[in-house]
Amino acid sequence: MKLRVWPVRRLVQLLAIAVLVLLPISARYQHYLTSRQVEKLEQKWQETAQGAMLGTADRLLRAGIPDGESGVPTRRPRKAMLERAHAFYGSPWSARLFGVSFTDLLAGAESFCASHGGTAVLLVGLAIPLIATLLLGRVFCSWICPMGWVFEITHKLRALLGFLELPPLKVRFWNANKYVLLGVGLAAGALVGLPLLHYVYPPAVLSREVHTWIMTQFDRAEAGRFGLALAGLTGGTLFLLAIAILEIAVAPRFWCSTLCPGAAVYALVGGLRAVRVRRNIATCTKCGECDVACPMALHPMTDRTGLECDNCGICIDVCPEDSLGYKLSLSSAGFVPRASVTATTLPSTPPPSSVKAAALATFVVGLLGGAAGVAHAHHIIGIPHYAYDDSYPQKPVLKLREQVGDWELQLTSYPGNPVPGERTVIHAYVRAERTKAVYRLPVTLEVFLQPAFGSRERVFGPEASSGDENMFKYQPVYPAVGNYEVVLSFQDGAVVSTMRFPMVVGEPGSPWTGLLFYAGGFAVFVIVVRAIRIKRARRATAGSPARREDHAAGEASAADASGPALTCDRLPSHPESGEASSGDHPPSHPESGEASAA
Amino acid sequence: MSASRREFLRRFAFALLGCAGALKAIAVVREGPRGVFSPQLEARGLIRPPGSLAEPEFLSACIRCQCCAHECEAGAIRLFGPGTGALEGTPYLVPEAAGCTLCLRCGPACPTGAILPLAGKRAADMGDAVVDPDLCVAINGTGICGACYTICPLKGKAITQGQHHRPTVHPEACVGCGLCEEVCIVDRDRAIRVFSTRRWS
Repeated sequence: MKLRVWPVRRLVQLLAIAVLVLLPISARYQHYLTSRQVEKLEQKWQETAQGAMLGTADRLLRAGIPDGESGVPTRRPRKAMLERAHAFYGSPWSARLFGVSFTDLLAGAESFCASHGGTAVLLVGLAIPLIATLLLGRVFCSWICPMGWVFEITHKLRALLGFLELPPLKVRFWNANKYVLLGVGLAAGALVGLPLLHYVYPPAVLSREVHTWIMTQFDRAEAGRFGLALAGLTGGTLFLLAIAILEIAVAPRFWCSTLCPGAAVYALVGGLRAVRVRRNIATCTKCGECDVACPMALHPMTDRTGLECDNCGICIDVCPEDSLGYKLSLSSAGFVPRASVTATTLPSTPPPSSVKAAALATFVVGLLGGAAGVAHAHHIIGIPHYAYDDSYPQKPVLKLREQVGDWELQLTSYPGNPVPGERTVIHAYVRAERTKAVYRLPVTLEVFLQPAFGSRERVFGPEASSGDENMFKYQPVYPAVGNYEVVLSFQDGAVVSTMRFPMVVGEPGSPWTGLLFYAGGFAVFVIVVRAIRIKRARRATAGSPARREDHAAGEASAADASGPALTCDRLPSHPESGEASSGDHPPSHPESGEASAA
Repeated sequence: MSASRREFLRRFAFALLGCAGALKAIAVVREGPRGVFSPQLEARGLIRPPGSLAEPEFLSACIRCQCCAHECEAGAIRLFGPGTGALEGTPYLVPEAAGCTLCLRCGPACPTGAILPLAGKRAADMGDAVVDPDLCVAINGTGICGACYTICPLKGKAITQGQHHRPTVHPEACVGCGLCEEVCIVDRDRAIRVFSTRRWS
């Protein structure tokens, strides 16, 4: 029975992800425990997601500790639990587990460069990762990094491309890109005096996102909003999503092998590793399975693993002859004489199409840019995120400004995202845009409930306010969670000018509706693309061989219109139809032009 | 177009994209948290955890892990969110929402020495509390309070009480923990506020 490496590795990876999620929860629990709020919150948050998170932290922190404190046997062992909570905190970027510090080598390098010489404290946290990397190599990347697992999933998702019959692009970038990025990033950081690479280092970005998201969920619960929402996710999520999409569509594991600055640090240090993947030449049949399986695109079959190998053990698992294994060796890899290795034919991969890759990358970046714009707009109108909570001085306020005819309208709603039943205040300012004259007549406000389907319903007004100086005040109460429309109207000479704006009360619908919407849209996209492909394939098999060639060239939309002409223009007996075709589509069918010229 | 020229153009395009990205990144990092926080909050100065290095040194030493925030007993340490440029991920406090209880766990928790471990509560220096005599109910004569004196971890040194519980802050002893600001009873505002000399970059 062959011992597999991957189950162990997967276990370690999942443990790392569990730690990543549990540490912020434990931190919050520790705060509640210190301020003696746990019992109260357990009562208040029963059967909510936040309550479940507290319960998990509670069970984990009191596991193995007998109940009872200060002589009361039923009391929660608060002191012992706090002691335990203070021995575990942080993230994969820098953590303390069992009271021992671990700091990412990239974090150390960044802090060292940006502050022009590190501190002794830094070395304490770096010691264990440094020794582990020197002994075991780049194992952080393949065994611990939470993104490693995500990228392995995206690698599997590439099967989707086959289903869609899209070209499985496998663009190879220059592996040394990551060293360039690391060098430039560290140098720029030293110059500016700021650590810069943590903005693009996925484990750091992910840990920040997870922390912010969990803290936001607790902040929401404290403000009386339960359930999990997408609020708290930021641009970092978009960044990670972009990498994942590019991993699927353009190049598997391109981030880890060619761009990640952390991988560069770990590769440079791990190049001196003591544990290596070694090949038994006597049993190796040079089947090439390991070279195909290697996620870093290295060549274990010819012992060319060198600096980049992260000791993930995938090659060990796929080897049918059991020729590969971890060996303790201080000499660099490739001790086997090169002469004994004969050139073998590898399964050919389709040639990289850099144009398509670039187009796809541009599309993804544009998409995410748009999403970032939406997120920014979202932010400006003051939807709360982490750092805004109930007692925070800046309770979100909705502010709008609009031009209605000659009048300038400014509107403020406090709070900007009201809770049902809560009294809200709307202030409107109306004045002439040019003369700055104040509007003297009454301004009317109405509020309508807008259900997703059916007619809207008036819930407030019409109430006319004659204004105090130039300010018109209203105090509408929104009866229920939902989408409302607020309508302001005033008489401008003979015409009545109105201004309408949407008001979201509470969190209408499930917060996951948006996500479901996107997932549904994606599913429809997949089905449509698949249907088009099948239809096209059917039409191609029904048509002549010449037509099939055109389909293979990917000119189907043009071929639909000029299909008969194209089949004809190959034949020298119908030059006029070829001319017509080339006249219709001169740039897309150069060969038809050539044919007609012949 | 020859293959080498195409290759050159491709490289050139990628290099251009990279340069544009780098410039954009530096511009984003350089820009402070403009428009994210209220001007009043920014005018009171940035309050960092006790024992933090001076501002430029702090920003270069801090690696933006979440250790100090996780260790904070009071849950007072927040981390800057997106759109705050170079400050993103660094710790700060809003005493009005939650003051520092001076448990001093953040110093030993910091893996890079951006926050130094302190010997005692009095070694901290986050800012100084300032009383607004117009708003304070004990000073303006509209009530009796004494909340700030009661909560002060250095009471008798940082805050002393006069007649009718009128508070006096002694800046040389005050460490700026902000517990007084948190508990101040003045509605919708605070009669005692912590001011820091640290600027929001």
